[in-house]
Amino acid sequence: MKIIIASTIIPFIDGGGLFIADWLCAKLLEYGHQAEICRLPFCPYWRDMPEQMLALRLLHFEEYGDRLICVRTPSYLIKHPSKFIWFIHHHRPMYDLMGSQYQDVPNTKEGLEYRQCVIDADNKSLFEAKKVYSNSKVMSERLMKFNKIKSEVVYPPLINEGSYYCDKYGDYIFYPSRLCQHKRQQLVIQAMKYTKSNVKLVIAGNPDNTTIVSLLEKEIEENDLTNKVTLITRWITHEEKIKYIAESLACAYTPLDEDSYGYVTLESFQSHKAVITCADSGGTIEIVTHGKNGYIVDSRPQEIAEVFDELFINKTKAKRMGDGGFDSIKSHHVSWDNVIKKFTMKI
Amino acid sequence: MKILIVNNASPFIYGGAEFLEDSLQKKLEEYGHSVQLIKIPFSWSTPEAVLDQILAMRLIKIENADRVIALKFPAYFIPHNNKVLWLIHQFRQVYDLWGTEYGSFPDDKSGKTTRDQIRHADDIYIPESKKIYAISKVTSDRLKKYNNIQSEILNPPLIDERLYRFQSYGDYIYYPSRINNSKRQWLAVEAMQYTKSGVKLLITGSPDTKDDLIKLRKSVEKKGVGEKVQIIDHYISQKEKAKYYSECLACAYLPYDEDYGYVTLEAFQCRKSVITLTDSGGTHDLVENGKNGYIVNPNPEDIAQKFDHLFENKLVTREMGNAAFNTIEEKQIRWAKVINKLTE
Repeated sequence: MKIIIASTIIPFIDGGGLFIADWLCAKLLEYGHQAEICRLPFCPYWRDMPEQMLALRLLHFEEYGDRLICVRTPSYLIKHPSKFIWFIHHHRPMYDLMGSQYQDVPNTKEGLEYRQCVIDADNKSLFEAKKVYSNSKVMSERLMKFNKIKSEVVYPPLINEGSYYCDKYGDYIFYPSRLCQHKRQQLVIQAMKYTKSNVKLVIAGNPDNTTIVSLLEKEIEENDLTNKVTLITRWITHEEKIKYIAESLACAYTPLDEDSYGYVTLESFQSHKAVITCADSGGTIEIVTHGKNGYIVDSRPQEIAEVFDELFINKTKAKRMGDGGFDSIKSHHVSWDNVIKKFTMKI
Repeated sequence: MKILIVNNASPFIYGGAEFLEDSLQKKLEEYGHSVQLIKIPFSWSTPEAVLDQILAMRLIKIENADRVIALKFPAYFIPHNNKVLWLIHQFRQVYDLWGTEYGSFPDDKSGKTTRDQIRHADDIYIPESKKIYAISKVTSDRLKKYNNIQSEILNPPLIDERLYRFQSYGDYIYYPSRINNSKRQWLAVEAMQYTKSGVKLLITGSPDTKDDLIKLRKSVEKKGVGEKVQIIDHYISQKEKAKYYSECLACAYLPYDEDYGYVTLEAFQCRKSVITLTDSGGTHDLVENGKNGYIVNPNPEDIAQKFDHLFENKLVTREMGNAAFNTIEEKQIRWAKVINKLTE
């Protein structure tokens, strides 16, 4: 099949949406299809959006390729007789973030008209697609709530799943992620105050800013946790990361209200490690089942500490739940086989 | 510098224009720039579609780039306050190809109106660019003739010139190119029935369509030149191609009205002269009749005569081959120059 993947970009800024497009393209080629990516610059400032949306609508892709797969919003405005969408998020400042500090349009007649214009265009172009997939249940629910569009969840798998492994069940919990407020590394550090066993914590990730680094460092020092907590404040390589996971006891992933289940969860499961997450973490609970492949706890340090200890004291349990995590990848159909099958389906 | 290269795309086809944009990206990165390539599929199935896409390009907004380098119609309409044009070609169907078999627009009132609108868009938007370069003299001349816009010629160099070397002057003329009607491999085949020396012909390239290949093979059969002509009709690696160049007598490159043509440059790098035609267009940027090749009329007898001449006079072949190699230096077809011009 000849397939064009379209996605929008802000030049020279890499985002998750683009990775998915790149990976999908690489995998389609691997599975013997012809695939090309079309990256379209899109500036998401609300006043500039309608004109650029019209530009996408005026393009003529219809004679190219047997299928068009649109990824990042609003690339799906492009017309094609065999259009499929992998929906990863709305223009959130006009959707679920409306009313929060992240809302972009003003609450004036004009501002609300711009918003309505975006929603109308989304409705129309999503509706005309032959198939709409989303990357999570959260996203499918939002599509239904805001656009009345039915979608099927197709989870994005890891690109190099073969590189993950399990070496042992060590003595530390690993939390790999960008260091920022809403990933709540601070909460996990606070939990270490309440652990009773010798369990340790390793946090690694590129900091969003210097404020977050000093905040986390202060938390460690003030609570006298320097012996228990290691903080790596830089981007670690893939090799470093898989080694840290392979030798960990389990992984922690405790963001506040994420859209998707998060690659951390998947990476951890792929390495036969359980995942500790919070009830208010959002997408993670789609794949983490309490007691089976990890723990879903309230976002309080004491509760987190309790399960850290439990895993440390009972390594057989850590292994059993890690194996359970590995099995969940399969039972949720998180695989490229599934992705390719869904996106190359005959219509 | 953060540089965005914008071009239109013909999905699933890889030709000279794709090679050029990839080479440019690679070289800009080598010179320390951050580069991103934007390729937008372009359809010219109807006049209305072409107008739609011109408008689409005007509505695209580029932020977070220090410079935009635009290569082709209609991508060069994308607005940016620091845009440089390195023109491969305009929409030729409304210029030099208008009224020929290659023009697909109807020659009626609506067709003409659209033609004039497209020309007008070129007239007013091309001069927005801070600098206007053209990849060849043909491209530059067209822009001057039809739109009265001045441009500077900036010939694209090879991406990996070290791949192309001289080995020997063998007994065959080499014609490497995609096999299609407008590249006119069939003219080279027809020429072979008039050769009197022991000169041979080697054609390599993937055919654009099955028909192109069948036609060429039939011609070989009909002219009874099967003994003297070899056709390799599938994609070959750069390395294989370089080897055929390095051991050939000279090259033939006979396209109809080409914009530029890398064949000439690759041949010259291997110290091989090039036989091309009076109506081949961009090849004339580099080929000078009698100095580093021959420019002959598009008929088989004239071509055959030059094939024989080169086969029988190896001294001439060598002299012209050396002159061909020196042409690259004389014309300063170097990446250092290209990058310098496009980023100044």
